[in-house]
This record gives sequence, C-alpha cells and structure tokens, in this order.
Amino acid sequence: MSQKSTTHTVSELTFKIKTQLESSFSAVGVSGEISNFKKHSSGHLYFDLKDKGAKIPAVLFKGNQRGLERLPKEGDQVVVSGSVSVYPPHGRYQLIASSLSFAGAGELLLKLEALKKELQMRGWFDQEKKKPLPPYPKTIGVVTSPTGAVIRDIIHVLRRRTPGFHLLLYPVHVQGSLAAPEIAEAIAAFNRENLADVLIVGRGGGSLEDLWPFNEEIVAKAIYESEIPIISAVGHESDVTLADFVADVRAPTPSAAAEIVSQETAQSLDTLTKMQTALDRVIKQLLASKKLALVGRKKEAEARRPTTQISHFNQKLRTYHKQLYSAVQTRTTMKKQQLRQVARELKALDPQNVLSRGYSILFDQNHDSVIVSTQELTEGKIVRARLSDGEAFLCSLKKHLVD
Amino acid sequence: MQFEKAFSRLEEILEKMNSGNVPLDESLKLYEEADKLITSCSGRLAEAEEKIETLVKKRNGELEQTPLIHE
Repeated sequence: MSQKSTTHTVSELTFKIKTQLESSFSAVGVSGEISNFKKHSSGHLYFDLKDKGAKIPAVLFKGNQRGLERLPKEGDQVVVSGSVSVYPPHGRYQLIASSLSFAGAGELLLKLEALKKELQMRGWFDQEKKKPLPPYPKTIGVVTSPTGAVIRDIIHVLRRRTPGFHLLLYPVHVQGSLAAPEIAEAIAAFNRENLADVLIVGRGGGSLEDLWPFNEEIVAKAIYESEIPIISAVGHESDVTLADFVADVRAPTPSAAAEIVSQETAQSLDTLTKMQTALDRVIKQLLASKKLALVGRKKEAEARRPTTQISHFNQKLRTYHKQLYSAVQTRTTMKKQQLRQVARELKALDPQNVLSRGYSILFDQNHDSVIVSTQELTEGKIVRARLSDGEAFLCSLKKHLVD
Repeated sequence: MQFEKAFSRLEEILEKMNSGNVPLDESLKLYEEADKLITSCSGRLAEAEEKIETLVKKRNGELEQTPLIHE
C-alpha cells in the first residue's frame, strides 16, 4: 500500500470500512453489561453493550427474540452472538445480535444448590416434619399477588368444588426484591393472628429469576416455622423451588393447590349424596316388599272370615245334598228294575201261560183237587178239564196206560 | 355429633338396612336417623358462605379484612 495519501470520497472510505469490518466480524460472541436499554415500538430491542473500557451499540431485532428468556434490563450481564454492521449514513457501527443469553443464570443455580444442601442438612425438608392438612378447612389463607392468574384460578376451583368457603388473601409481590420479605411476613402474620386453617403460597410460572423469591432463605424459614400447614404452588409442574421442598404439600399448580384444599369437602359431599340415594332406594324396596306381604296376608285373612266360612259350608252342603239325591235316585231306579225282573219271572210261572201252550189241568169233579196221577182215574169217572180258554167236563172211558 | 362419627354412623346404618333382616319399624327409625345425619353433615360442609377477603395493613400496622373485589 502506498504511503502517499490517496483521496477518497466519504462514501468510498465508508464502503471500504464496511466491507472490511463486516467480513472480519461476521460471527462474534461478545460479553458485557446492558445499558441504555430501549424497547422500540416496532418490537426491536436497542441497547449498549459495555464493560469498563468500551461500549458498542447493539440491536436485537424482533425476529431474533424467540429464544429470549426475558427482557434484559440495565446492568444485566449478557452474552450476545451476532455480527458487526456499519451504517454508512450515520458513520456508525453496531452489533446486530442474533441471540442474547443471560450470564447470571449459572451463578443463581450454584447459589440455589448450596442453599438447598444447607436446608436439607438442617432437616427442613424432612418428611416427618410435614404437617397434615386439615380435611375441612374453614378459612383458606392465600399468599400471592392480588392481580395474577393464581388467585383467580384458586377462586375458580374452590367455587366449582365446594358450596362455600372463606378465602383470605394476603397480597404480596411475587417477584423482584420486595417479594421475599413480603411473602415471609405474610406467612408470619397469618400465624401470629391465627387467621387461617391452611395456607396456599405461590405464584405463576416464570424464569428462574422470577421464581427466585421462593428460593430465598427467609421464605423457606417462614414456611418451616409456620404452625399453619402450607401448600406451595409455585410456577408450573416443572418448576421446583426451595419453598416446595419445605412446604407440607407441594402442588404442581395453584389450581391443584385449591383442589387439594377442597378435596375432602368435595368428596364428602359426593359421598353424602350417594348415601342419600342408597338410603332412599333401600327404604323404598323395604316398603314395597312389606306392602306385597300385606296384600298376601289380607287375602289370607279374607279367606278366614266367618261369613266366608259359612258360605263355604253352604256350598259344601249343597254339594252333599246333590250327591245324596243322586245316590238315592240311582238306588230307586235299580230297585225298580229288579222289581220288573221279578215280575217278568213271576209271569213266566203263571199256569195260564202253560195252558195257552196246549197243556190242560184236570180237576176232580167233586173235590176241586187237581188230578196228577192215572191212579185217580177210573172208568166212567167224570172229570173237569181246564183249557186255555175255559173248562169242560170229560168222561174217562178206558184206562190205558201208555207207559 | 362429630363429623367423622356421623359419617361412620351413616355407613353403619346403610349396611344394616341393606342386610335386609331389620324389622320395618326399626328400618323407618334408622332411615329417619340417617336422613337427619345427612342433612346435618351436608349443612356443616356447606355452612360457610362464600367469603373472599383480602388482608390490608392499616397505618398502625394492624391487619384488616376487607372484601376482595375480583373479576
């Protein structure tokens, strides 16, 4: 390169700088502190990244904010990745950030681990120190923000599950430097004045820093020392704070805390309803079966009534009478028949019948006695003969014995 | 009667009545008793009227309960 100064136009120089700078620093990581933070109405974030000796303007465009944990604020230690860009109209260079991460998170986690070990050593997490929850709490104390979704969710669940409840909210900040002392004081106040049967302490989800008050020792201590049983409900299922470890019961969400608190009441009401139904069914069945038995007895009793018995005997009497009559009649008919038979037989024995068949009877003329032997016949004897149609006198002529 | 006691008495009554060998007179008496127990238990569970309050610290440091206006 020649030492002789060459004259450039401003644009030419600027363009050369732009080309060199941008190609040399197309992918850099820079750590520093946030200052002059500004969120533009367009959604882009403008700030300076500085350290003790230098400062560089930076921008995080809206399109690059997806991975951002939270909005940065003054003094935050951050690491920015991106590229250097020159803006010719202003003669300025700046850092176009493609991502921004907070440097403090690692330190916080270390601090949390240390405190957790310490509290565990002190026995604050011990299972045998957990107090049982009252099954039917009259007053439910809540320590949370008065404006967040938490208190709304809790009220919603309680309304849905129990016919009535008394909720006492102690409003506190749930993030920032005021939060931890306020939460601790709220828990202490509930205990001092014995204002509730159970406490729900919590907040909605957030970053580690947002949840930090629930990792502070004063909050853990207040929970540990509380005589009133405490349910912790911090953040979402996956967020676990020291408050959760110390609390008597840890609820995964504020709604779940409200469900735990109202569980027995809701269940008992349900059981009572079922019992009522069962009881009604049993008594109905019982009454129905007794009624049925009664109808049976009534029939039996009716059958045994005297008038019924008399008519029953009458009936029987009539039947006997009929039977008797028919028996007598049968007998009479039989006798008549026998009589007729005898008459017929008698008739067959009538001598007249014999006469009509050609026989005749001889009578002695003097004595009217029947002559049955030839011995009685002498020659010239007059006898009377009876024939079928009358009598005639005959004279015996000659005795001649045929035999 | 204690709430839990009332509950176990209710269970006992139901079991007795379900067994089917209780005379009618006694069944009716048991039913009446159970009905009363259920009413009193439900009543006790439902006796708290919905009350939503917030604790406010007064100037002298005392806490005061005032209704929470919500929604």
